[in-house]
Amino acid sequence: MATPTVTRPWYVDVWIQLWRRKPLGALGGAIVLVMLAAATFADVITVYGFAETSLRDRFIAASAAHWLGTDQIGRDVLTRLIYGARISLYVGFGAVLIGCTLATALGIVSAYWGGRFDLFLQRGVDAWMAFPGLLLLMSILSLLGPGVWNITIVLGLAFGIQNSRIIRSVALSINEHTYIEGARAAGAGHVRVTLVHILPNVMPTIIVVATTGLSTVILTEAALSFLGLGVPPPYPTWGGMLSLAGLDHMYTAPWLAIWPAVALSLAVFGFNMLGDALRDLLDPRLKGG
Amino acid sequence: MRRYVLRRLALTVPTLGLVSLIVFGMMRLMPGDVVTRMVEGQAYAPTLEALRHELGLDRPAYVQYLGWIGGIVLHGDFGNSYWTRQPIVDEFAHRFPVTLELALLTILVSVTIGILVGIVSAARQDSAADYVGRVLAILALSVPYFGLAVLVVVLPAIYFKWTPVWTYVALTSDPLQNLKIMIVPALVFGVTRAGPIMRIMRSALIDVLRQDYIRTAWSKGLGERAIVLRHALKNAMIPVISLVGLQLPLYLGGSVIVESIFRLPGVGLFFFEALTRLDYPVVQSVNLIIATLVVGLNLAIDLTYAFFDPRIRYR
Amino acid sequence: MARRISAWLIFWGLFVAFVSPLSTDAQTPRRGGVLRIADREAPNLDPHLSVSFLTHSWASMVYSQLVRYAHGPEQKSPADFTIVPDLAEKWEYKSPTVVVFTLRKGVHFHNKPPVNGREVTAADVKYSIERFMTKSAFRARFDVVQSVDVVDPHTVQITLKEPFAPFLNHLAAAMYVAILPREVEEKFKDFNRPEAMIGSGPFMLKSYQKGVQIVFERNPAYYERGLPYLDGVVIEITPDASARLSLLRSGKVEMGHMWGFLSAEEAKSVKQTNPEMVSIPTANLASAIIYFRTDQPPFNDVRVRRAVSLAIDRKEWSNTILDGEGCIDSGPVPCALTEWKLPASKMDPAKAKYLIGYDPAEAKRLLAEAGYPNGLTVPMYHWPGYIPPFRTYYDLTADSLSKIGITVELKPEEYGKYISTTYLGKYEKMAMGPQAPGNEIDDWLYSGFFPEQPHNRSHVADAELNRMLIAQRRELDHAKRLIIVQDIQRYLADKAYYVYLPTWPQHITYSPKVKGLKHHDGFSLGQRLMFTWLEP
Repeated sequence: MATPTVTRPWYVDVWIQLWRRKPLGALGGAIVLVMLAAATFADVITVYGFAETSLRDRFIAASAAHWLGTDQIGRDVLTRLIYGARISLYVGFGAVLIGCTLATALGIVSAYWGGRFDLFLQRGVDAWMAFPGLLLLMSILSLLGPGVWNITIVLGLAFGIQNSRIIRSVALSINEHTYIEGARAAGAGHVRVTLVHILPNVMPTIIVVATTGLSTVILTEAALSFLGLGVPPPYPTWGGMLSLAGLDHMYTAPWLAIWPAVALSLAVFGFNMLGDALRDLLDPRLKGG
Repeated sequence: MRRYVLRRLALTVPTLGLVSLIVFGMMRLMPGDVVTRMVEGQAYAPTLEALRHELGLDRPAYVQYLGWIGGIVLHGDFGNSYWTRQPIVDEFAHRFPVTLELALLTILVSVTIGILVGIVSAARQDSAADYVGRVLAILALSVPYFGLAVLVVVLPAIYFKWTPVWTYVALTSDPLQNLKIMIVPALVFGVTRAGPIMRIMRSALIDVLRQDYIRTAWSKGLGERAIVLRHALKNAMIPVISLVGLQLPLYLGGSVIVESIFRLPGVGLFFFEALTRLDYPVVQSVNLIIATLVVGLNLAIDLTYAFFDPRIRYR
Repeated sequence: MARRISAWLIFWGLFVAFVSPLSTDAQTPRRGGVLRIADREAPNLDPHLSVSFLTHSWASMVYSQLVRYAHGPEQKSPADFTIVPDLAEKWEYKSPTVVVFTLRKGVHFHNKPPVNGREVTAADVKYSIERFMTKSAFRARFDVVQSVDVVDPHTVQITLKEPFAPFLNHLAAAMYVAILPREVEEKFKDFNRPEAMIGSGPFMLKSYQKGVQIVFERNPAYYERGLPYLDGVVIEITPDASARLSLLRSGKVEMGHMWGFLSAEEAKSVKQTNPEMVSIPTANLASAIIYFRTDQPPFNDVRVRRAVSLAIDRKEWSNTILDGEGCIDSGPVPCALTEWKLPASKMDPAKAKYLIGYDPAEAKRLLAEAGYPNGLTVPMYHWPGYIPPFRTYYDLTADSLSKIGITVELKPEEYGKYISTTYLGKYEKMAMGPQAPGNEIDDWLYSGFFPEQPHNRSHVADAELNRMLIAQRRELDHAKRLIIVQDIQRYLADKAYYVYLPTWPQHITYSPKVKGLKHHDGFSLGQRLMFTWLEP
């Protein structure tokens, strides 16, 4: 007696496949999940306040009361890391989301329409990319003023325009494939061709770009904190903890730099492994057999 | 093809014009007032007014812009720094070779590492080698490179009383010493930049290896190495080249931290200090010069696509 | 018997003759050696076109002044601003507004074209001071000068518009008047180029590789016979602080920042890896202050300001953050300026408590009395880039004030914006930052409290105070001036126009090979290195 095959929708199937076939990706996913949960439930799971000072307990390396130690005015490092996850992940996610959307839109549209449109648009991108990132960030941020939302937008904008080039190059090579011409010949409209044929083939690249971009965004926030343009207080950020307290006290208390760096690396690792696995699983040609 | 090249060349001028307008505008958006910044809060209003007039900052914005651009286009004069009152182009000519050398060495390191590890990772997908490669690539790009640079300079001094920070000598005066000085920062910088290259290489190569014409080659009985090297690699290189081109401003201008820590008199540090000091002429002119180089390089890269993938036609 | 005694005498005589040079060897300067320092680069070289202390430190190697501060064996403490002769061998007040300087004879500029080693004359002094008064951003300091006249080639007469006690001190400060040769400006347009660095100072510029290093060599014809001891000084340009320390640790340089200025943490770390290093804690002059818009609510009410002062547990901060090395009684006159300072212990305790006391209960009471029983919320503008313990103070202040009901919104600003606005008094409600550095008591009092002064960040406009401030400026007699200055300190004690936070010491750290180096709170590098020598 043949067992009936159950077809699951692809967005459910992916997660099951992830668990079964891509252990590293699953690990990455688990890390991401833990971080997001910690960031969301920070108020509940932390013992101390993130601004709670204690001058008598400065520069503790690690203890039963302070698992990851304390900083230069006795604040608990673990608590600050957990709250820091909120901002860093918020800004990171937000900027990458904005950036990827922008990059995909610009890249695909530019490649698809081609001709003079592509020519002029790419010259605009050229002009933008000829600027060192810091100049752009500093001047736009000083125009908009500091704030989490503004920083997210600016980082997303910069990230998006830069990476539109890569998307465009991949889209260009896809454009020339015979099945695109075939689809067009069969009467498919532009939007349908873009969404059904081009986008899925560009998706793997988008995922790689997105996951790589996350670390860049968080590190850029660190550089901005150092200049006084980072996310303003009160919430701590990993970048701020690294470039301010971490560098200030690197001789006395190296753990103040190590823990935020570890948190950062872990987040980036998790997202990248997850992204890689998703990319591999969603690759249409792989699925197509 | 030729029409395309001509069109692109013709468009460089308006592109650069746009760059010049944007950088001029952006500098005026930067927080703070140049003249107050120069005297760091020590002076009174009459002194500030006199300084403002001396630097030509009391003229309307468009006059200042035209003065600057006019100087470049008509006399090849890129202006003087507000701080040193010396010609910017002299300073730039001294510093650019340093940054260029650093950039080239860094690209060499990062591309070599990135491509090699990426190929291995893609060819042996999901094996132990792949995992190791990917973890290393992630680590490389998640470590802030200022942290890495600081560690390279701080730890040996603490444990061995030794430091890889030397007094810079030019390549032309003492090549051996120069390379000894440059190789450490190039390695530090290059390793951190290898991560994204490795990942793009891996992703692109995997893509290509699945395509029809590769399957055809398999079925013809060609060995794996031949397939990878001869057929797949050429096409997979496209996004990699794109990435390197995209990262060029990063190499050229983003080397500030490396230059600062390793005492290299390059353009990165020059530009960064001018930026924070609001030295308008330096930022504007250096940016324009670098933009010209970047635009030119991107054009060259775009044209290289045609060589690697003849199926891409330019309409 | 006599023979044994004489044998002993001879033995002891020889012993003393041999041993004592060895034991005092460390105190006898040796000629020779090149001192290497790692520090940042000066933005330019012309001492009149820059306000950067780096420029003035470099300039002080190469140029002389009319008068200078006591350095080396002459100085009694790092904050000793006693005026001693430099190019002027003596001076005399002909009247409260006229000073006549007699220049040394036979002092020559460095032997470099276009000056070629000619003698320094009164005309050079006049030229230099007038150029300063035309070009320097500091020229307002010399607003009081009416004219500079050449009486004869070795006599200069300066006429002031009114009696001005700080005048000689300003002439001695490295930031203001270096004596320059006119031919250089005629040839090179300004003093920014390396070829233009020609003065009459203890060192001459040998070479300058921008961004890499600047090399000074001994001036063999320096008017002070036997000085300098060093053959040369090399400043290795190193923008990054951790790289500078690495160079110090690995022995590539003898001093890690220009004046060996390390923080307590850095010094401790260097002593751990290099226990042979010399490290001397030296009190900082300038401290961290909280300043207020005293011309607007809520800080126009002295009770609110007093509450802020009482909320800070200075002793605790000093014991913990500063390892007990801090100075709590740090304002309005710096701890280290002992010549002028009236300690809080000598004041009426009821007033002094608003200067150094800690009483959160009283602070809350004052707030309630002022109309804020439930506390209030205020912003605090600052630049987050100042190194610790500054950075630590911002968060601690916010924390301390929250405990008395004041919620502080920290507002970090980018440097360009900060230095153009907040630093100059253009901010809302409250801000924190360093005091501006100064050499003269007038800098700490007049500049900080008189209306319209750039450093009067708290917008103080106190008529009674103004009267006293002007009086101390015009009083040339030191003893009488001291009385006025002390009265001012008593007056200010409970006004809380500024809230002063504990000052911390810098740890002057350098290689044990460096001898004779004495830290001075002025910016002159040349004058302190003049008396420095190297042991091999």
